Amino acid sequence: MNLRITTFVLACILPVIALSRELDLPATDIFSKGSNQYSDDILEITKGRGATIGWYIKAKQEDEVRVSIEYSCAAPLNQDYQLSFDGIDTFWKVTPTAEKEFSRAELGVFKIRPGLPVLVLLVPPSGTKYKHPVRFRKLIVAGSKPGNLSRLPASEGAKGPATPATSPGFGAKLSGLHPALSTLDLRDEALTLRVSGMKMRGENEILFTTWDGDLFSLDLTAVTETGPPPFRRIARGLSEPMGLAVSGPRIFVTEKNQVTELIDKDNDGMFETYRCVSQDWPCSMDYHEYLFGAVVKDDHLYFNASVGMARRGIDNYQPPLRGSVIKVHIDSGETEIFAGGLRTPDGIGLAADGGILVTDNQGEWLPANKLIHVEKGGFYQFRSIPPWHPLDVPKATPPAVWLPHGEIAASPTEPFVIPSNWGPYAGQVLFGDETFGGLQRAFLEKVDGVTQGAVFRFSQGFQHHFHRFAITPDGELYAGGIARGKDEEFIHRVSGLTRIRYTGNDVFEPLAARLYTNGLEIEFTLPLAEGTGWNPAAWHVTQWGYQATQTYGGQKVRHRRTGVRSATVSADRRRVFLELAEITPGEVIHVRLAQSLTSGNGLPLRTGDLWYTVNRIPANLPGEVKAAPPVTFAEPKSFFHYTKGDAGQILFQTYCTSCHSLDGTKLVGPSLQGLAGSHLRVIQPGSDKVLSVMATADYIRQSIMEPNALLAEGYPENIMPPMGGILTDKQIDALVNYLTKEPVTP
Amino acid sequence: MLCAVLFLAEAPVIAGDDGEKLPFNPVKICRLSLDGKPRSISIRQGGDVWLGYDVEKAAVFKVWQAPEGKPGLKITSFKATSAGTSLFDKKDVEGWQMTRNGKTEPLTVSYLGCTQTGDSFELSWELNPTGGKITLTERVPSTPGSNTDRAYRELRVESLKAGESLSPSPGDGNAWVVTDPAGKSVSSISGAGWYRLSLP
Repeated sequence: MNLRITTFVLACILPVIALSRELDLPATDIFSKGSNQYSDDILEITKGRGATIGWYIKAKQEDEVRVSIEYSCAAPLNQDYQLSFDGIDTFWKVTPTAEKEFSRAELGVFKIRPGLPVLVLLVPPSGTKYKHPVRFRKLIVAGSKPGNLSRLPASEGAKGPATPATSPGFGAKLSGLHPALSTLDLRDEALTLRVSGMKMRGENEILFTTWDGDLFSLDLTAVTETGPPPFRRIARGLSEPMGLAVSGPRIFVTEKNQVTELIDKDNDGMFETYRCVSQDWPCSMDYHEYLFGAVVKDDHLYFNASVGMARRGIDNYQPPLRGSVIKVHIDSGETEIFAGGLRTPDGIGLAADGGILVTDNQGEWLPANKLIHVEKGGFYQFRSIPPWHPLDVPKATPPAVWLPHGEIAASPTEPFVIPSNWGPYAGQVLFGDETFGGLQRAFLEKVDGVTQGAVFRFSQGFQHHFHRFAITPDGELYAGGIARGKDEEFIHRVSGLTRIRYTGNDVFEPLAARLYTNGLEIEFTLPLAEGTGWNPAAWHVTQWGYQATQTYGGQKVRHRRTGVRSATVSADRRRVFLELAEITPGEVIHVRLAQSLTSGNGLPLRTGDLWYTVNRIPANLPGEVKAAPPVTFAEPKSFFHYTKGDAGQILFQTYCTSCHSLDGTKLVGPSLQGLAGSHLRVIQPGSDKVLSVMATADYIRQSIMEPNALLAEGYPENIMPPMGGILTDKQIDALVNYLTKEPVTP
Repeated sequence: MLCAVLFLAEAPVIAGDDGEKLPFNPVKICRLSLDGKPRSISIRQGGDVWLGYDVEKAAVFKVWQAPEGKPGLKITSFKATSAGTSLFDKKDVEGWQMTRNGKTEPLTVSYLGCTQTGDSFELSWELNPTGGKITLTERVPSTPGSNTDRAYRELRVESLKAGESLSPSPGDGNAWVVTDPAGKSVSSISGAGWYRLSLP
């Protein structure tokens, strides 16, 4: 049979399958419905928080596609839907339809690329519950090429790679103090000092403001190893001061709604004049509008204005210019918006290169926490409703380092450069965390003029949750803690001042990570044991991106295992170059190191995770790849342990332990010791009515998905994020399963 | 974030504190947002009268008398709420009006800050009419006014030129009686020296 006849025969016996140019993205196969309900194949969307209406699609060839929606909606909405197509956002004003009558609306035209899956997200407004649902059936993606488009099932698309078992410092939060640090808790039991701003004045005096509106002085020469420190209050009556800066003899405070200089004209040690340096930006009565931090550079004060949150549940309005880095001349008060698009930027500091560093907290438009090396005119993506920030642009400026939520940060605070006498860590960046606690460390490098780098776990084991810092000329670090919530015992416990000294003890851990054209180099604090590190299997590398949305939280996008083609140890055994199968700009590379690695002098590896943010890939800068010496084979074959069924425990350790203990200790949130089956006192928001509920699997699931629905008595609204926007349904299943096991063990 | 509801009480005793000497005692001066105005300040005069300033307008928008034996301010987080009997209440206060050669001039207002010295409390602003700059200083004595004045304040304007005068906006009503440095009742401020504004 020749080819022509074969073709003819096949054409006769096979049904003709017309390859479609269109692809349906149905409501029934999305990552998470949140608290919305299905009616047959229709998702009735009344609430955005926790709903991740998304799909992964793939294209064989590049094409231009048109996205439309099938929906009905009986009444207009006061906010738009966001459609994000492979990171490009468009906004859809929902046009009302006749009651239950389905209509089709065009949402936008996008380029689709071949290769990695493309994420398509339909994001309802966050915070508001609508009486009239948007009844959503499907999106339709229409291209020009038959058979070009395909869809990955949501269950497959949202599935990340297998996670190795965790222990403190390896996939889980550290449990103790860094061995090269010593601490002294500077506590006066009579005082609860929620430190909101802190700086050195001269060489031996620390000044700090407190949440309660006071300014304190601490003479460091009078501090003893025992007994309460000689705190001296030198000013009061400040309005929610959240930042303090000292420039020579001058003192500046960022208060709730203005920058203030405290002046002591008669030199009697008391500040009788509160000069308004500037209040040249709009504000409202929103509780969440803060002026965070303060640094002085070239006669200008830089600080951050956070966005409001109180109206997110009403109409999401923001006063213009909120979410900015603001620059004010300390004499003239001339005020400039330096950057925009920030959310809760509770930390600002000077970088080693003289630039401005800012941390920002995860939430709406921030799928993870950020460490930002601020670019003048940069826009960091937080939006509310129009009119948008004047610096708003469709493509946001990326952070220098993403700080994955729950893994390395939860509410990051002030960043600062590590003093020069702190051994190998000198010049790197540390930052605190109001919820996660501890200190985390970042290494920054510039690639093509863009700052990027890696973040590492550094130290837990402190009494306080650090918020603000001051460093003496001798390199002693003073760290001030703060706490949220209503639990006075907890606030008292974690607020206050700690002195931290670097002892110089040897510690074996990853020190830095540098990106090359073909991989990532990891530098260590000490040389690796001879012959180790060469085996690619000792490096568990994954990669993902983030997609900002107007709803709370964000899942990892395209989370996947990345192949390690080779591992090359440098001649001094302090560096290992990992040749990677793939590096994608805009994504985070996570490396889990094998716990079996040791230093040349026999120290165990203290921390085994790093997260590197790829903003740029260096061109023509290949890392050196060498063949492994035969001694490699002396290393164990199995570097990582995977256990089926412990997903819930890993998730709990990753996302929950910052705020909830399992041993009865009260943290930011209630302890979950003995939770399952217990009776809890809860409050319905908006009323003072106290109910008693049993902690069933359904209750636990609801508390994870919608923490505000039934609040544990004594805890405020909105302190816990709705995890439905962060975790997939499967992950929530695993977490609920873990928390309903008896007994739960940490 | 962090919040609590309380009435203003005497400041807590803190080790190393200068106690009453430290300026800006919150029981006398409150720099929190008053009655829904984010940028405002409340100043106690005498035992129980409070003046509430809208610092963005350089104007008093509320005067009230605290309930007998009770504080005149209720504090919730950064918010202060006046408590007691209202003596003057102009939430949408317009502030100052400038006249130059008989014509009303638009004004921009910049708050410069406040000072507590001894028994009085001063606030100052920069007022910018077209092509000009005027400094306005207001003083709120902590001692009560005369029997006929329920509240009073003193005011000085620098850099007014010939033909320029400053007066309370007509829209704010005529509640305040203005007297010049010589004690003569006037309708506007047109010279140097301390003027007095009293609320009969």
